[in-house]
Amino acid sequence: MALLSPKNFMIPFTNKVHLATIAFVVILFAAFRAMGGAFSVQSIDSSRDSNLGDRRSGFSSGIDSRDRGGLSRDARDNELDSANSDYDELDGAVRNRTSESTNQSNPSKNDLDEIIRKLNAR
Amino acid sequence: MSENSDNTPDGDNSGPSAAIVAQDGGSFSIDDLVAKPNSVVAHIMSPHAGVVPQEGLVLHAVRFPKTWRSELYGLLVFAVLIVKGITLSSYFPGSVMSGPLISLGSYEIWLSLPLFWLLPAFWLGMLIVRIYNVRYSADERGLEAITGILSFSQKITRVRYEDVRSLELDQTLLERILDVGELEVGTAGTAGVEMAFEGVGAPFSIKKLIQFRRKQEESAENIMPRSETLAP
Repeated sequence: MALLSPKNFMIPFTNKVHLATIAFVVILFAAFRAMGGAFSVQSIDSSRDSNLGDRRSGFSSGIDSRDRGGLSRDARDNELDSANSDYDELDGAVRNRTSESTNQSNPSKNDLDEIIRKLNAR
Repeated sequence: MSENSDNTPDGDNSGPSAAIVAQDGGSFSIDDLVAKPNSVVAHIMSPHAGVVPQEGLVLHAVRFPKTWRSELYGLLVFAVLIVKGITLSSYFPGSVMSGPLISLGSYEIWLSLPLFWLLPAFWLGMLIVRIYNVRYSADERGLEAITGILSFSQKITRVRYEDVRSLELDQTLLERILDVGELEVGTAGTAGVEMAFEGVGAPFSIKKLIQFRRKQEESAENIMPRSETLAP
């Protein structure tokens, strides 16, 4: 009988003991996934280009370097949201100051033009 | 009579039931043998089966696998370890270790391993070893117990049916509910237990089978004296 015969593939599923063993191994793998375990295949070049270390952890389970450092994904998202809002506030403040300075510089330029125009008129 | 798809002598049967295969291909379960032994014996010894009654019954090996039911406490511990592992992994995300596992050409396989998963994995591995480390069988000559299949040292014990002097069935209340138990075989050569079938399913049926085969051996000796049987 050939080694790769359908019967050899079916025998473990016809035996109750083997079937129970397969079921328990499946349960163990489900627990592995539930605990955050994962396998991932990555290209070495891409992993080197992407700043190595922390960037490499793009696992399917979503665990990254911050998670490994003890920061959960929700906390990280909250942190990113607050950082974005801070950036928007800062950006708005800078823009306001720039516009104010522009408005302040415009009168002086107008005054200079006025002086030049008067001098030319003379 | 129950149908058995695997008629080979060394076929890995699912358990004590549907495990006896006659020479003509007919198959019987041990329960059949216990419930209606006369009809089973009549079939095996019929001319259609091609077995001469004076030569006795020809039954191929019957395997008695150790059942998972016998490791019920171990399975409960396994379930507790899984639940605890999931809970602790959510409380301590730093327990998930990540790193490269193996390089395959220009690719790398990365593993994210939760440390709390190792406890149930180790426990299940231990249970699997306990299940598959032994093999009990009864063939046409006697009983055989192989222990240490997955260990460095293996021990094979054989007892002929005519040497069996005592059969003791050891069951707790839970084991009686689950229909598992330990069958201890004693011989005249040893004061204690010669071999023990630990954690087998339907131990009472196995005991009946061994008693049946023992009586059959005794009847064969009466028909044909032992000196003539052993003569070349």
